[in-house]
Amino acid sequence: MNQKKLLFLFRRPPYAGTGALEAIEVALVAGVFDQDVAVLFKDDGVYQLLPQQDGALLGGRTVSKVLSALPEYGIEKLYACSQSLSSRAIDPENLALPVELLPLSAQRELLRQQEVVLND
Amino acid sequence: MIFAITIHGHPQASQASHSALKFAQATLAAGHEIHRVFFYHDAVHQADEIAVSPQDEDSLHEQWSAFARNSGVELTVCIAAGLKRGVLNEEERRRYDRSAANAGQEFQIVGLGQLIEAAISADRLITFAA
Repeated sequence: MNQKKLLFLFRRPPYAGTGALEAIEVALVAGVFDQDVAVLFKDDGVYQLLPQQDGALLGGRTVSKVLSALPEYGIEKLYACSQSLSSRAIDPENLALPVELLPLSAQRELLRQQEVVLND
Repeated sequence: MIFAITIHGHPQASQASHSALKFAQATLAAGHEIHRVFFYHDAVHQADEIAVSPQDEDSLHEQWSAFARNSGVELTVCIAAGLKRGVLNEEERRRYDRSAANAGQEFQIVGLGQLIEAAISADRLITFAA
């Protein structure tokens, strides 16, 4: 199978239903298929990056723990919208994953470079 | 141009599946191809053939099924998303020892790899989110 540049846009909050986890599953499968994968956390999706999550309290999986599998699947281009973080008063120095912060202009450029964008 | 379509919204709670069907019909009418339609998230309920529509409303399930029969376009449903929402074909019904299977025969139960394959093979992937 040929390789494409795929961007996953994660905008769902981590524990509002199964949506966030299901979106992460798609990215992991893209990693298995050896695609050139990037992930951008944006809007309420940046809540997925909060440290010290415990999904067991809600009877489910811990989203940040599932996310930490991304690099094991060869997915290392991880970005977060700096505006989404600051408007939610989330400390970018203390996140569950090593992400590169991007202002809106850089996100526009990132989107432009992609062949496929997968919304969550 | 070759399109792939993925749908995320619940058939009753969201406009996504209806909009996607209209888009799919228009795509073929304009002479393009559709590589595959992939139902994910709550959209997997679209495969449920047990749901009964009110008499004065169109059945989206019926319309999608007819679309697949007439066009030959592949309708696929994520197996994992379907299982947890109770959308099973006969094979999965047997595997998990459930009392009924409800996936319509025009809907194939497949793995997530089919979504990635569609994203790679098509010129455009169009998402109908919730």
